[in-house]
Amino acid sequence: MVRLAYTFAAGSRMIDARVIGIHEFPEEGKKYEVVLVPKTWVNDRVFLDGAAPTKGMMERAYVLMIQQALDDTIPPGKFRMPEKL
Amino acid sequence: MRAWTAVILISATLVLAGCPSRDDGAKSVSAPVIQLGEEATSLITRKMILLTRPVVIHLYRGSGKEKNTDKVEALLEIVAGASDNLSVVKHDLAEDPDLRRELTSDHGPIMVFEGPSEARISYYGYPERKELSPFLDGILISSGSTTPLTDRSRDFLGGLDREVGFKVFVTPD
Repeated sequence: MVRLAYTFAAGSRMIDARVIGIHEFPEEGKKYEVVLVPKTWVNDRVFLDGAAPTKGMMERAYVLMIQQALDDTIPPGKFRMPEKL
Repeated sequence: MRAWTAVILISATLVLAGCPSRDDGAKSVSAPVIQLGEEATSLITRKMILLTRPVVIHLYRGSGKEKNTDKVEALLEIVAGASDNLSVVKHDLAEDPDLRRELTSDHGPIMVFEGPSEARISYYGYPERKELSPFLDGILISSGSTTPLTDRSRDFLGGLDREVGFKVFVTPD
């Protein structure tokens, strides 16, 4: 997840990828309701608990998360993982 | 007589306090802040050999309430020692309110990577154990080292015209 987020940031200057250790930043963990890790938030609008089973699926999930986060017609909340990525 | 008594008392106090006398040749040795295992040391060496372009890591520390900043500093010394292409610049968050706003925190440890790729990447916390490898990869990615993505993802990222902020929450376990 960390590597992929950084790779995405290298793919576009529009992306800022921040990795946050909740041991050192418990207040952030609380604010973003981190119960299990890894947890990814995109634009503070869409979140994903855990990871997809493969790197390819995770890559696709991150693209879809960005699309969902940028779509103002979709209410903020949990990432809706399609059945088929 | 009174002066001799005072000297004896002071000497006894120093011995009891564990202070070496001037001529006993003892040196004070402080414990290292971190001790990396063989596996972690080898990982750092293997990854940093791949760093062929200069990267700067900006390390931000702030108030006294923060955790593990000394460990991060020690880790960065080790990692920077493994490559001539990596340097570390330290900053004090307490001195810069704009920076605190930008980083959305008043405390460290926060590391911001600066390299030829111009990727906007940062690490908040101490990247130990299973987080060490992706952290080192972050340095390589910052240097411009490419990691393969599918054409579809690359095209999508290339077409982004709005700001996107990723926050990935992790623990080292």
